[in-house]
Amino acid sequence: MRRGTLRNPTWTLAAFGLAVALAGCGSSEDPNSVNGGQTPVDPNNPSNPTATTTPQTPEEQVKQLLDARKTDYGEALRTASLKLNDELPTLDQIKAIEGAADDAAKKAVYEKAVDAMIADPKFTTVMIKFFKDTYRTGQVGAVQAGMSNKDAAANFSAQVVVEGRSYKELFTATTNTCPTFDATTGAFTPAACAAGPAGGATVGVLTDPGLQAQYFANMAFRRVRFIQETFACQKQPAEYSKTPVAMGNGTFTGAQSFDGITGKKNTPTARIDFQDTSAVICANCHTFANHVAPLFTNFDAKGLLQAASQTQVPIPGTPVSKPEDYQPAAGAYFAWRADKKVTDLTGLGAAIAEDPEVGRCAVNRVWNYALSRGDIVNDLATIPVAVTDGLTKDFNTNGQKLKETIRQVFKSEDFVKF
Amino acid sequence: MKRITLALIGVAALALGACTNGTSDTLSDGRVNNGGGTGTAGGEDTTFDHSNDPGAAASGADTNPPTEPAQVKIVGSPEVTSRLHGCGKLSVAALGSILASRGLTGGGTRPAGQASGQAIYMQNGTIAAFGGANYNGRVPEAPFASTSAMAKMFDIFAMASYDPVAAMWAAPACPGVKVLGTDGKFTKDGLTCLMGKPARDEHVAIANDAIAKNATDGAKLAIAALLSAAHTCQ
Repeated sequence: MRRGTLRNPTWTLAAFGLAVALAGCGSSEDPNSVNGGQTPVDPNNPSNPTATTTPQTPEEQVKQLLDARKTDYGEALRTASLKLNDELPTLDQIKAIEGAADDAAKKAVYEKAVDAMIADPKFTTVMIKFFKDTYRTGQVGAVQAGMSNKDAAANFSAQVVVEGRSYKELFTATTNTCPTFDATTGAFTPAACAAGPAGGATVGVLTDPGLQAQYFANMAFRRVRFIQETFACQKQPAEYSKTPVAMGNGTFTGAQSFDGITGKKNTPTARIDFQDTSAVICANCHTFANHVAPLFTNFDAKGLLQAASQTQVPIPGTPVSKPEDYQPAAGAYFAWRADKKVTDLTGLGAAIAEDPEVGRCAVNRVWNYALSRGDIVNDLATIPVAVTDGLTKDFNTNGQKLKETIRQVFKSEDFVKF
Repeated sequence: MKRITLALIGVAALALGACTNGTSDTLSDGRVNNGGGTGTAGGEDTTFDHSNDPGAAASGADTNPPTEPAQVKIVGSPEVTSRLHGCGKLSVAALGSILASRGLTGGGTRPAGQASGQAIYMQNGTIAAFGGANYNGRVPEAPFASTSAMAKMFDIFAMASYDPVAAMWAAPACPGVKVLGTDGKFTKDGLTCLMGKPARDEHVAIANDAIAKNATDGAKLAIAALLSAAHTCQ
């Protein structure tokens, strides 16, 4: 190469391009890999980083990847503080952990800080926001005359959590389910929800006018979908038969009777043919939904319970829905699941409260919130049962106090490792 | 200029073309087609590739899924990924509290007519751009940052960087701390305060290097970069 070649801007830039491109070459030490490109260290011979053991089984692979994480209480404090109090830790809090003598001392300081965050009034505000996002419902602007306050369900749910009450109350509470919250004092003021002309029993958040108004739609199916996805953490179909049946252009997988819902096969005058199998098997979802939705048809667009059905059938003329639109009159029933028949909304709430999947769903939502994994349904952030099984068992044995589950998750080994 | 461009493209293409490690083929997830098959029918040792006739695969043409799918190889199985922290977006509320608690409230001297970081945060449209909730549309606050949210956050931190370099800067959450010491260099406590976690010596060194290279704007550039990097994820 001639002297001075690199002073030629063409070659200088070309050399730069080469360097950049080569630096971008992938390799086994990819810094974006899970272990940050570090060479795994043989635990039996830590002085020899090349003497690695290749995991033989999926379990060993899982363990190796998880073992590559490192405990970092400083990072955990920052994340916990943002998650639990919506703010960064103070310099004093950061230094308290940084200055702790060893990991055991750092752990003690960190866990004490988590307890303080959960006791802080800001935790209440965060919980209200958590439930607003979970319910996708919140009051925007002032409450309009005659309309329902859409903050009430989130307020009540947060109150249940913050006060260490049972999560089951979300489906079983019979009074004061529409509290107000004063952000300046951090206090809830108990209040009953507005009642419609038909009165009706209060059933936790299931009868919350704000939620009912938010999910008002044809035939009340949007309300059913909301309850299923929010509290059971699973899109429809909500339940599956152990003995699927080939049918039409697919397979009927519903757990409840195909003939138990309205369709052209059992009701030639049906306004909606839920037994249609020509394109998709409608019954896969509707054998569940049609046994729940009729319980919600009398709530109007403002979320107030009326004496007659308020929802419409999506056909020309949009007539008001009737019970026969969902199920043939003979043998009609309401049910949360195939084996959980109920007689009214109070019964539905009790069945939901006792459903093990609902408890698991609550725990999994907390887990995903803590670890920034997104929504379990919308973002498909599902969690293998083994990951949160212990937490779920503890949740059920501690009286379904979600606050304690939150405390447990934020102190867990998985949360403090990065 | 045309020669420069062509030379850059050519050399970069050659270099990238050399980025192979033997058998790896990123477009096929590392799977190898030995040429035994035609079209999409796979090769001598594997029939993983799509069948040409998925409705009636040839007898014996069982498919062999890769023993280690690329997705699992890169990020791990669900048992692993569900136990790892994701990169969640700062909430709208948290961003506001960071600006307030770190003294990023517009106290610095900015170019005439430029809004402060906090003023940008307060502008109409910022919440939507930052992925705030739209409850009327049944949309919760976004759990992850979009490109728009990242850009908006950087806008805010870029303009907020004028504040900590001001002599009167004070952060309510970090009493008595200054980001820049009397020697004009970054202090470790100052960076710790802004990042919300212990700053390392490397943070201080990189930040001071920015000052060394650009005495006028280096400190502000370093602050904007550190804020953006530290708060990319919740």
